Amino acid sequence: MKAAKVLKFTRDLMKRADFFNVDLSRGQDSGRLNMADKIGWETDFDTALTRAKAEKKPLFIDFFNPG
Amino acid sequence: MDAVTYPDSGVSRFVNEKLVPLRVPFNHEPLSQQFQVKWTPTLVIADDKGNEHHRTVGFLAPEDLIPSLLLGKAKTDFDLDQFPGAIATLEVILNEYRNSGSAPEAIFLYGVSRYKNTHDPKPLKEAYEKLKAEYPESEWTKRAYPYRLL
Repeated sequence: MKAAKVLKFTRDLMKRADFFNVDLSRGQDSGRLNMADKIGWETDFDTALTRAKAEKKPLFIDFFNPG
Repeated sequence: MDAVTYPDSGVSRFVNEKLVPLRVPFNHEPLSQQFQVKWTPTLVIADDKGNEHHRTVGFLAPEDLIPSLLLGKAKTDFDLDQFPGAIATLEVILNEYRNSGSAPEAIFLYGVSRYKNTHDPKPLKEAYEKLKAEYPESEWTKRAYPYRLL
């Protein structure tokens, strides 16, 4: 029960950090993600469009605040 | 999104498998102007010509991001008259993410897509009845209200 509360507290904290654009995992291994699981973001629009056409997939664009 | 949603392995696998993800700063030119970005995060689903079909603004938890992206994928197919593809994607939302915020719109679009695919009006009425039963306060229930007469 106590572990569940700690887990919930941690998750809430992470959500708040997300809201304020704070990267809690910077400089340390969060242990929640393997390299293979990372999102393979494109950074160039034309490259992404070319990929979308070739792979017959929609484009997912995230306009983010780099802080 | 970087602290919770994107590190989620289910989210990253879904995005890598089903979409082409592009990430740019909110003030990127010319994209910021082209997509009229006013707040972050702004998440857009577009087709391979760069035409927008779906948008959300603000944080989404993993359990809400995936159905929202699925809805965007379905709306892209719908707008391009690819109704079987839209129907298949919407069925995933209705079966696996029925508690998500995207579910009511998915039910509405599912009814419309099935109608557009078959010209049988029965799915429109079914959509209204399902919305009325499961999401009586949703704006999508109000939008489907005329279909009760079919």
